[in-house]
Amino acid sequence: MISAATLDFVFSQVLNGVAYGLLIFLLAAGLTLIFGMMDVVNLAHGSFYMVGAYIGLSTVRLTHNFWLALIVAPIVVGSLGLIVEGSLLRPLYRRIQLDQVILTFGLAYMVSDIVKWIWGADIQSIDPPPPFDGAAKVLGTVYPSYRLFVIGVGTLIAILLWGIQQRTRIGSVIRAGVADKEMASGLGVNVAAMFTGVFVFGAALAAFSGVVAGPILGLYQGMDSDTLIIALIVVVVGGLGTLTGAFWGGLLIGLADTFGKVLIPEFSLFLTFAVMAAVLLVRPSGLFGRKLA
Amino acid sequence: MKLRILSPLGGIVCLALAACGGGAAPASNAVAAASSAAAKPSTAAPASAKPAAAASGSAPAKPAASGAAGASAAAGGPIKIGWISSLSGALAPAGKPMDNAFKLYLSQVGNKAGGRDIQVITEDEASNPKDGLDKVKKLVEQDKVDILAGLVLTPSTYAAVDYIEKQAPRKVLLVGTNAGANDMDTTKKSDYFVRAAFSNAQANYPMGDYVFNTLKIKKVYDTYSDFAAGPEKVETFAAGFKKAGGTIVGTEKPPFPSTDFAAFLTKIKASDAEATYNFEPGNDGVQFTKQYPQFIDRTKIKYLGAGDNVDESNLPAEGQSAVGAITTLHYYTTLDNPENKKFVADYQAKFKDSPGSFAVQGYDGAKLIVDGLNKTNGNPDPKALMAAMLGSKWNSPRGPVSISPEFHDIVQNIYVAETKLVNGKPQNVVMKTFEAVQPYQK
Repeated sequence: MISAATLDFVFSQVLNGVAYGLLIFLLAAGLTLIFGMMDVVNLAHGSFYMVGAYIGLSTVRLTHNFWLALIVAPIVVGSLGLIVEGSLLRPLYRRIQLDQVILTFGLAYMVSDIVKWIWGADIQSIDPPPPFDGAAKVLGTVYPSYRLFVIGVGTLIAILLWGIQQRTRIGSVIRAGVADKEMASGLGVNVAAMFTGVFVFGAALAAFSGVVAGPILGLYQGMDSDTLIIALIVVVVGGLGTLTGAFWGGLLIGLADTFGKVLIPEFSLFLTFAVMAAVLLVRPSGLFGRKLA
Repeated sequence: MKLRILSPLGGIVCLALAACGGGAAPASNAVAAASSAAAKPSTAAPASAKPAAAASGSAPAKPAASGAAGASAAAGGPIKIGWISSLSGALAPAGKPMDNAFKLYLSQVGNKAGGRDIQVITEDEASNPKDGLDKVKKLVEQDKVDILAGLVLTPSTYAAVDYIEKQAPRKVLLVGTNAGANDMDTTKKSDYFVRAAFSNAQANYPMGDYVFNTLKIKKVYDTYSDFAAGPEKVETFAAGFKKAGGTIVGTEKPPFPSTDFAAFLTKIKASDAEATYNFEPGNDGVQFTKQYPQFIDRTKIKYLGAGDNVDESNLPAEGQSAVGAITTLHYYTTLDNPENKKFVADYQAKFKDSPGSFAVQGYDGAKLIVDGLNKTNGNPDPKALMAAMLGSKWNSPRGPVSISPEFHDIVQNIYVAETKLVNGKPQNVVMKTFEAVQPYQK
């Protein structure tokens, strides 16, 4: 029979995987929407995540209020997203997709340097806010309460986003835009406004996840590319343009990463990529991606 | 249609290559600390005899029109030291104090040695061996430095010495001020490498016996970052510990760099270990130490390890989470001797921060170079300099030290300390001193 200790251990690792998976879902959600809607692979998405985290850090330093940081960072980065979309991306919509990708890539380099210039190259972290700065008992096992908080927040946002997508007009407009831009435009939808809206929302969500991830993943040079890679993997695994895909893809990759570290630590990254390859072999458009006509 | 899948995949591949290759963010090549960006060494002005302005220990932006190529022969011109430290990335918390203290010592001797001015060319190894080796090559081949010093990473040091011995167009002496690569004392000992820092085994081997016989701990779980220095420190501890009679119940090797140790800490918690023995450098150490009490009850599984984890460079970020750790290292800021009191005061005055082990290594490395050059009358030739350095003894802030002719490495005291709250701040309080420990012990 499986001992209580082993169950305890497996349960803790599952919690680890779910917490990490929901974190990367938050990041991948914005990325997948931007891609699905605008056909733009936003390689600056990791930069939004990073800037959000650092702004959160400064807010916490100045006000000692983590909750305030959760509000301030998305607002600031959302505004930055607005400026970027309006001034840099919009002129390029008529051009080929590659031009936009290269632009966002260049933007990522610039932002990374600016962040280093403002906040320095030292590695930082945000402390988890009380009352989530200790350990809690969950079903008989002791587990860090902040990670439980992350699971809670991630699930809440997932439900919220799903609700918006399925039950509101905005949601159906977005789904229409992802499915077929030209048709939606023909039906009177203001596609340009939708683009801007989705981009700003994606940036704000990335910033939010940056602050939430701060106490776990820390803030360091290179966090933008590290997280972008994982987010891209989740988007590809889950399916481009679908929030459901980002959610389940996030959980799958989060669990694969965690159990990879548990079972084969030297190859944990390999396992993540192997899962991606396996999913693509079986379902080339991702788990929930639509087969493109 | 295919483009939809292809471009994110292409994006992933590019970024994965950039991230794996570069280690740090893509833009880190524009690193502020490297003055080298401006240097146009291949056009180094040949015969103009202007003596170069003595650099006040800081890196110059122009190639000095001094002793030109083959600089070691030019008497009277400045001596160029190629100095490499980790000024960005996961090991910046170690590399920056090392850089600060190296230059602090040089400024204290007026940036002169052996009757010649000293010019330091600083490069950033960005916490990864690829950049480290690239910068070594650049300093030797393009900047034509006379002496090399620094290198935080163990793998970079192995690579650099290999390069000097087999490929470099000119031989230069490398003075190591951190990387404790064990093999440098034995199988890879070189005429071109001398170390003023420590060997990975030096502190960790005697700790094995101490943990078993003095702390009376019988079962330990090893954890270390998966790169060269990790096993060199922790497996050496394990060897000493097992020899004394202890049992290692498990080993975790989180990838380097990592920020999230949840999976590994959960595994340790599920074991029957009485203590863990840890080594994670720089930021990894900070994150690991902070996450430890979130998963593990330290009254059940004590936190032991290499002092690097709770070094002064990490302690402020770790705060309360470090309290209760028992570690071993060759230097703690709290050491009570006159040289250390002066060193700590000088460092605090200039950098508004407390120096840790990396700082003292940079400081001693600079002193070793300056004393060596004084003895050779400014001749940086590797053979002459090495002969001058071997056997030298002095009182360092870490206690009495000497450079062993047998190992080309430093013989020094090793301390065991417990991290305690003193006046509300965590501090490493020394409990035991092992005197004059050799870098290599069977």
